[in-house]
Amino acid sequence: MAAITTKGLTKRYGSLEALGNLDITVEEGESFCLLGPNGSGKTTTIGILTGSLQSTAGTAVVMGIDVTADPIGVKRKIGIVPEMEYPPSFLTVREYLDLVCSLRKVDDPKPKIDRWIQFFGLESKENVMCKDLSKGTKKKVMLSAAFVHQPKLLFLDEPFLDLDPIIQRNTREYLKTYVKEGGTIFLSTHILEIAEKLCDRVGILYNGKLIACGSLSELKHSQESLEDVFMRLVEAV
Amino acid sequence: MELRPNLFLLLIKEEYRAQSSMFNSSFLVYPVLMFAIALLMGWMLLPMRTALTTEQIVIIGHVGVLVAGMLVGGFAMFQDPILERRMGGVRMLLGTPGTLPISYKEIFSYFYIKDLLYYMLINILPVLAGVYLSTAFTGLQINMLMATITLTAAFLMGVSLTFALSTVMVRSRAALGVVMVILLAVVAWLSLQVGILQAIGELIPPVGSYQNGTWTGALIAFAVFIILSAFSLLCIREKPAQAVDKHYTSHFKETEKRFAIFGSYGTLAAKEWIDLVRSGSLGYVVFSFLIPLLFLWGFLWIFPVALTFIMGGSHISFGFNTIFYSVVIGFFASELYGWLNRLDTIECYKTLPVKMSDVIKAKLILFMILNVVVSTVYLALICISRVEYGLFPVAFFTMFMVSAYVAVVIAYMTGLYTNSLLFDYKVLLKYWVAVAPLLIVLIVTSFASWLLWPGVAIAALAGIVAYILLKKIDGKWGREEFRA
Repeated sequence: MAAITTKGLTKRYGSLEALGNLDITVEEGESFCLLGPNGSGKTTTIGILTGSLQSTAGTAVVMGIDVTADPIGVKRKIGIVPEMEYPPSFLTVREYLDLVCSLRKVDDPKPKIDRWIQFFGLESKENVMCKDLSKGTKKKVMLSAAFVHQPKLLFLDEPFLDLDPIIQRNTREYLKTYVKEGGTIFLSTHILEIAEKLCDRVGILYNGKLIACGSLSELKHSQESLEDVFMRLVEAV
Repeated sequence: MELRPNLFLLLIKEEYRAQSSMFNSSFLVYPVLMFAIALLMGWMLLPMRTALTTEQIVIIGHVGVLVAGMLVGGFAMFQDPILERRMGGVRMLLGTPGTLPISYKEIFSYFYIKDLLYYMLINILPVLAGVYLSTAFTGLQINMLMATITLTAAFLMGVSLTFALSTVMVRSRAALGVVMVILLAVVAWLSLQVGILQAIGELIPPVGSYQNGTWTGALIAFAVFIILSAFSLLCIREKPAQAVDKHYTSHFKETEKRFAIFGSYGTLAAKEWIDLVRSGSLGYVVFSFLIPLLFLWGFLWIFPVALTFIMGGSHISFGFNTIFYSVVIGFFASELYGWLNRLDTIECYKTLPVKMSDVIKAKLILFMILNVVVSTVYLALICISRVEYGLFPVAFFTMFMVSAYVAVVIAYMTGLYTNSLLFDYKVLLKYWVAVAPLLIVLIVTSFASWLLWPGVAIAALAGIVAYILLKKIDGKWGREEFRA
């Protein structure tokens, strides 16, 4: 069953087309990565698929729910790590995770919150207000908030930015296990190495258009790295 | 230090773009509004002269401008909370010392001068123009050259005073306390000698300049401005305060339980309550009524005087009873909703299964709780001071209905963007059309005891309209995206 299906998904800001006619299908249990240069439409795509942005045209169905018709229904079923947004300023780390669990109606939240606080090494920061945290720690809090309700689909927009190498590796390993256990990942990143290590399939966006989509083996010519593939496809447009 | 005129020009451009992107073209309406108010106040000088001496009017005028300067002058506060929170994802030139070879002191000095220029252009200039034009109607002789100099001096003094005080506060709250005690002691001592208005007048040197036609007072004020500004710019911290690992006991769960009676909105209301307390805004909220009430006191003082003047000397008196105060307190209370929207950015809600209308309603719940507590205290104090205990139940009902109506109207029209959308003149106009007639009718009904129950019925009707609008908030804001 498809976790994500888009047909002709388009987003325009006035005369600027940020995303044009995007057709993508991501199956359940798949790890899909969206690559593209700055301003290519990756964050816009994630914004629409997670119900934060309204599309101008086309359809998007996520976990069997039409995003346009029921964006909150979609948000209930997914976990989101945004590129820029951080947790609220005046709640402590634990309070924010409590808030997330309450809004997501998580049963018996304490052990789940404890698990992610421990996973990201947040024990010494759990009672500190989020506004006083470093960028990296805020990112860990956002990752915890996305994982805590054990969603079946994760949208991750540059999730590894600001994270130290140890946490990057631990998170990557967790995500691999998550996919093995049936979870689905929709990842947007600039870090090609992560895409190569983590993803089954890759889509390349350029100027709001999907210029290539397929498994790494389908996209690569002999001996090519993902970076070579990316440069070849983008330069060909 | 090398002069950087280009940086100064960039700061001016940034200010213009920040204002125009936040408020569209509506920010240009502000100086026009200041001009209109000054024109009206200039005209009001005629009735004021029947009740006040010229000396008192000059002091009040300079005090008003000094206070305006003081409100502008909390610059040092920009450094931490505003850059961190309220500007959200917006990055400003003030943040460049972290990455470019320029010191924070230097860029802040340019920023300070830019803001002085900006606020003088949008505040002082329109006020002077309005007062000047009013003399064409009133025929009053105002020395505009001297007024320009002394009012500018008073404004600059006010700006530099709060700039200095906030700089001291950022360094040490205890030191600020000592300075404030000394300042208040000086005002109190002088007040005992010559009366409060005269005392304040003596502490604002430009007042003497205007009255005597000498330059000394204005020069002293300019010197005070330069000394305080130099002190503040030299003492300002080179880097924003380092985040401290202050640990808090987790209150969310128990706060959420306390708000559980509000059903699905209780969780969000609990978050808003913690924001309010931890941001230190609770005190501001409680005292936010004081300034409007002082203005009201001034208005109630000038209103009969002006009316008597308009009626050609026939004495007019109005009985401003507790019901009247309940209407205006209900109106002032709506400011609380704006406060609640200033506390934190809202983008984090993007990741959660929450509609914007849910957050708006949670804020309205918190508003009503604060309103019931704070406004009731103010109303009770007024009721006791006027010995109108019998009117309290009706006044409480009226206040509650008016505040609910006004707050829901603001919430419906501006959502979570109250502090920018209310500067949009189209929204502002709609807001006044929705609110002003109700306030006028209720104020009129408060003047006659036989209109007491019709007034209650109108207040109840406002409550019903508020309820209907509350239901419509979902339709208007439910699909809106959370943006900075």
